[in-house]
This record gives sequence, structure tokens and C-alpha cells, in this order.
Amino acid sequence: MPEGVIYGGWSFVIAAYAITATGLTVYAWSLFFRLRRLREEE
Amino acid sequence: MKEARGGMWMKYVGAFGLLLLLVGSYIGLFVAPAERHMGDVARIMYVHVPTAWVAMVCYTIAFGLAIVSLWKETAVSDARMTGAIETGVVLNGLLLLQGMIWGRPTWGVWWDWDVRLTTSLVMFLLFAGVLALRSFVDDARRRAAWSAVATIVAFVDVPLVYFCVRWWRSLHQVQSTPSTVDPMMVIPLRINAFAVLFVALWMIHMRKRIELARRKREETDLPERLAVQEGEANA
Amino acid sequence: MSNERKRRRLFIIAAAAVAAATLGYLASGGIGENLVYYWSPSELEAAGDEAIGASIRLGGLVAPGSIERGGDGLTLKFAVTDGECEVPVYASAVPPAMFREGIGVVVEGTMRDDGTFETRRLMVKHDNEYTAPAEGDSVDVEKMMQSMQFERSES
Repeated sequence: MPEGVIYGGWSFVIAAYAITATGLTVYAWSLFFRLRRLREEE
Repeated sequence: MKEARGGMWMKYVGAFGLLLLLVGSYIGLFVAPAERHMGDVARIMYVHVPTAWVAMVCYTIAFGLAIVSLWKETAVSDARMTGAIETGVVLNGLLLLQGMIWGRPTWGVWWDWDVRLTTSLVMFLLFAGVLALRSFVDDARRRAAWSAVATIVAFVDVPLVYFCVRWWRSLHQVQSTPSTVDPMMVIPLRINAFAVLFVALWMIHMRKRIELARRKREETDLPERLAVQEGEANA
Repeated sequence: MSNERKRRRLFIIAAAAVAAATLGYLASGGIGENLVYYWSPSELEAAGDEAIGASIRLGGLVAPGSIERGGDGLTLKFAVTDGECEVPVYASAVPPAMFREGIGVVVEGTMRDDGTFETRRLMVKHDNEYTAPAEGDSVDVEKMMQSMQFERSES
């Protein structure tokens, strides 16, 4: 096994993609929600 | 109606972006090779780099609209500027988190006060500050003018984030170019760059609609609110 | 054009001018000398006794053949080089997985009187090259210096 190489580390990759997906989804949902609420109030 | 037609169109841009994001991420996670030293951890690149690019594109759009908004004083440019800033802040926040997650296994630390990391955090705080400023100003015209000026000032940090790694010593590496990145890694990188851009354009558009609706409500509510304020003053 | 409009336009131009001037100043290196994230081995050596006890960061490449791992796995010794000078480092830290000969590192700590740099925070610097595995690992100090953006000191 050569030195200086990262083995594994998929947990970090999964964490980064999961956080990104969650962040974008929550924000998209908040956009829908806020717009709908404003429309209903009209 | 022009607005409605534009809305229809943006919906497809967003959906296309989402589709691209799935394709690009699939290639990045399962098709592209691992990196020689970083191994699979390098796959974080395919979300991290596009997020950084598009966050800066959002702020640049906001900067342009801030000038337009000061110059012409239109409600649309102010609303769209707000959309670009808020979308930029969301991406900027994700960018910082992705970077920390990538930093731990490669650099050995979650965070360090190097120029790239510091200027990126400052960028987040500055533009979040512009959004906070907006919520404190009740008068729509003043809010537009103040937040446009604040945006122009905050924007100074954006080129700094980009160039700091070239100008000063840092822990973060300088920008890669296609010649320093394996061709199989460039493909998902490019796909996801466009993917995040399209999704962001949709987000800017949605946020713009929210802001316009809010402003319209403010204007219709204004006489009512003034009456309430007068009542409070008399009480 | 009304007076108010004129004033606002003047304000935009002023704001843009201030922004451009700030950037220009930064780009021309006005603040560069005061913004030193790490010292190179040459600079550390030039500083001499001043570096002893001060809290500093040292940046450079891990000198080939210099790594000595402690038996407990929690300490290690190696030398940091910039191609001109070498500074011996004593680290009481678990090195990141990418730590190896010839890689860029930034260590945070202080200089001891015996000329050894003592650190508890060892960070590995990655360059901007991303390549697929199965290539030979060659340590070329000159090339690594370049791709890791470690500039040679002028001295």
C-alpha cells in the first residue's frame, strides 16, 4: 500500500453531497412555500 | 402576460438543471476515476467547484442589478437583485460546508484562517448582511437604494475570493485548469457547473417573484399601516 | 435630470471608484507584505532568534528521506524545505493520510532554541493537479514547488 494516499473516505463524499442536496431542496421548498402564501393572501 | 410567459420558461430551465445535476453527479461519483492521492474524497470537487463558480456568478449578477437598480429605480431590478443575493448566500453557505468536509480528510483540518477560506466566509457574511439590512428598512425606495449600495460595497470581496490564492500564500490551492485535471474529471465538472447555474437561475427568478409580490402587498397595505401607526402615536 | 437623480448617479460613480481603488491597491501588492500566511524555511532562518517562541506558520515541502515516525504513532520528525533551506520539524500530531515525502505542508507552532520547529497542527497542502491513479510517484522538488505555489525566496 503506497504511502500518502487516502483510502476510503466515502463518508465524507456522502456527507458533502447530502448536505448540498438537502440545502438546495430546503431552499427550493421555501421558495415555493413563500410564493404560495403570498398568492393566497391576495 | 410577459411575466407569466417568463415564469413558464424558467420552470423548464430549473428542471433541466436538476436533471443535469443528477447526470453530472452520477458521472462524478461512479464513472470518473478516483484521484491519485486523494482517492474517492476528490469526488467532492464535482459539487464544490460548481457551487463556488455559481455563487460568484450570482453575486456578479447582483452587482450588475445593483447598479441598474440605483440608476433606473425599477422594482424588478431590485427584486431580481434580492433573488441573486439570496441564492448566492445559500450556495455560499453550502460551499463553506462542502469545503470543510473536504478539508478534514485532505488537509487534516476542518478549517484554517487562510485567505481563501477567510474571504469566502467574509463574502457569506457581507451578503447575508445585505439581506438583513433589507429586512430592517420599511420604505421600499430606501430599501432598494441602501441595499444596492451595500451590494456594490460587498462585491469588492468577490474578485478577492477568486484572486487571493494567486496573490497571497494560502493553504487552498490555486484554480485548476483543464490541463491540470484528468479529462474524465473535467466532464462531470462542466456538466455540474451548468446544472447548478440553471438551478440558480430558477431560484433567482422565484425569489424575484416573491419580492415583487411582497412589494405589491406593501403598497396596498400602506394606507392601512399608516393608520395603525397614527393610532399608536395617538394612544 | 433632477438634482436628486444627479446626486444618486454621482454616488454610484463614487462607490464604484472606491471599490475599484481598493481592488487595485490589493492587486498591486499594497497589503501583500503584511499578509503572510506562512513563512518559508529561508525566511525562518533569516529571522534567526526572532522566531524563537513566536507563534508562526511554516510552509514548504517535506524533504525527501527526512520522515521519521515515532514508535507511538503520535509523534514524527521530518524536515521542511524550500529548495534552499531545510528546517527540522518535530510534530506531535497524527499526520493526514496524504502526508508523504515531497508533499506541501503548513505547520503551525513555534521555533525552539535548538533550531527545531515544534508543531501540534500539521496541515497538508494539495496542488491544483487532479490525475487518475496508476501513475508513478516521482518527487520532483522543483515541479512540486511550482504546482503547490510555493515561491522561492529572493534571498
